[in-house]
Amino acid sequence: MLIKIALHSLASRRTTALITVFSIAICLFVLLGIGHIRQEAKHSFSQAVSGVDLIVGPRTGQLNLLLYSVFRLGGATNNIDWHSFQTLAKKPDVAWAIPLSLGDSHRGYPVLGTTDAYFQYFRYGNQQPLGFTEGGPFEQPFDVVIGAEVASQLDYRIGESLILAHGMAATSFSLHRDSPFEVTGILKPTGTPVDRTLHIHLKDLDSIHRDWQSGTRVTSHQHTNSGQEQDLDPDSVTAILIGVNNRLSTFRLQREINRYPDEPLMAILPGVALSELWQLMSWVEKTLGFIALLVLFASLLGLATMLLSTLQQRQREIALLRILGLRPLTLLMLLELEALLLVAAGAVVAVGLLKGALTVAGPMLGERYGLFLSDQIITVTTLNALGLAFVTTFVIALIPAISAYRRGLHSGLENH
Amino acid sequence: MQSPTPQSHAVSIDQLTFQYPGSGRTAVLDIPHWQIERGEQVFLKGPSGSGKTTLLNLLGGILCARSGTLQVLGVNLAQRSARQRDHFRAAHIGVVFQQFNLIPYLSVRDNLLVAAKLGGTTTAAALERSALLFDTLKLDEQLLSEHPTRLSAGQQQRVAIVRALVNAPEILIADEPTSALDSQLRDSFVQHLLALAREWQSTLIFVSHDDSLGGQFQRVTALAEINRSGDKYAD
Repeated sequence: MLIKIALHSLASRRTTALITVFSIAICLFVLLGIGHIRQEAKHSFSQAVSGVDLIVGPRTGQLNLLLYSVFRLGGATNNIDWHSFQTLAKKPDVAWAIPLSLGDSHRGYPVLGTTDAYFQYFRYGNQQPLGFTEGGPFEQPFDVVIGAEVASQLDYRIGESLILAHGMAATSFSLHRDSPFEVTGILKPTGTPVDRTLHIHLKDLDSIHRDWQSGTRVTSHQHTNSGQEQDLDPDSVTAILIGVNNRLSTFRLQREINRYPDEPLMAILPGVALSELWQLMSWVEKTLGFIALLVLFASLLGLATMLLSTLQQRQREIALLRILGLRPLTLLMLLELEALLLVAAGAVVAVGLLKGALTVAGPMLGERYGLFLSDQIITVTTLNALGLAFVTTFVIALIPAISAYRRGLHSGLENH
Repeated sequence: MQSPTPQSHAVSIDQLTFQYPGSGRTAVLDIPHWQIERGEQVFLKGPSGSGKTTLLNLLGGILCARSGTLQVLGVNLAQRSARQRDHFRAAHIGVVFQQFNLIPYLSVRDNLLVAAKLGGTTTAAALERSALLFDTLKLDEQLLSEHPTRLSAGQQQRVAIVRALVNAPEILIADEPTSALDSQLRDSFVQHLLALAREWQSTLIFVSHDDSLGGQFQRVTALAEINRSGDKYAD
């Protein structure tokens, strides 16, 4: 009965109720959105690389190295000499080494030059190896293996021919027109930046750049199948992923690489770098969350004010309900119920908005920032946030509710 | 313990005095003795400010007197908890006000059902009763789904009688119920009220400052006669 009264009472004050619901919905939307993105980002980040013990790159910030080697964000400031790669790969502690070379793109998707070792040793998520939906690793020169998203977004199939662009811009003017690549493999979806990557052999990457210097082509040269015959080693790579034989030797190897005499190198532990990246993000996230909480608090105070101001108009209604035998405590509950119903409506709208926003903006976030958000919003974190919102509402709504209780205590026939 | 005893008076007052907290020593009400029999129809007259609202609030258990006894249906309300008094009022006392008898945002049906629910009457019994009452009061059944604001003043007051009787209360209090009605409607309203109170065996306490209505009642009491505090104190 009380719910019915509360609902009808709110319906009779539709305009104010709707405005209140909307302001609460916006606050909850921001609050839930931040929580969701945080959680998803953390998940997606931690899934991106696993089983790699060290990432080696030229001296730079550890975050920078992590971002471009794993997330294909930003760029390398310098390269590693091929000779250094060979030296490192032969070290007794090193079980495997994957060279990575970045810098080109195809329709905005990054191109990664690597070797077969990549498909053999790279792990993501929970130590999962890369699998193929179709085809397999490159065998011939100018073969390309594409990630699941590249395949689905650009609608590429095995045997498709494509041209790479120099540089990372989605609309690059410098294309490697002379060297078309052929799709030989499509990887299974991983939910990591791998899905958005085109993988080619390091040698092919090197050969298409042979005639380029400082980002422009210096001579015209037909490649055709010359790469096969030349079989030259590449000059350099941008990063190396390393797996060690024995976990215990990781730190020793790291020190060794950091002191590498021939060129300035650095080796980072992906886990440590990830958590550092995470801390950097959490500051932003905490600030946003705090602001959202404050705004939520303000809008709940607005809700309390709204209910409080209507009590004056509802004096006769309160008196009538009291004469009918409604207890003052029930009046208190009625006001609480009205407040909680408004917040519940706000929460439903917020969840709907979030769901809609994820559907609309989700693919874009994945494309631009490599952030893969699931549209599974109802998680422990969101439920906690909503629970907190309801508890806060209950407490704040005590202000008008207690006022209604007091009015109820002294309401009788005189109020008619 | 909550249930009233059948042989008791509807209202029985003995040495009752009441003063509002903080109003000093002056009592609003000082009633040495007053009784209403079961089934009686009493016209209680008095100008506003004579303490009648206070008396009605005492009868309904909204207020509690600290000295003297006030028994309603044999129950000494002052000895009951606030919760028991609320329950008692809901189940045994029906009230018709001058206006604002219905919650504006609920339909007429829901208004009746809220009263029934609080008075412990089942939905089925309440709807059956209100159908009978609607018939007697010549109210259209279709009004049940209307909102009170769409009803005329006359219709609203008649629905108020239905609402007041939905729990078949032993006592029916009408507090200036005709003030909002024009003179044509007034007499028929009072006649309906008297007839229904008799039919439903409810004790009727009709409060008004309009002496012209008193003629239709068995008993007319001026509050000034029973209240020694007189009409000096406004409430």
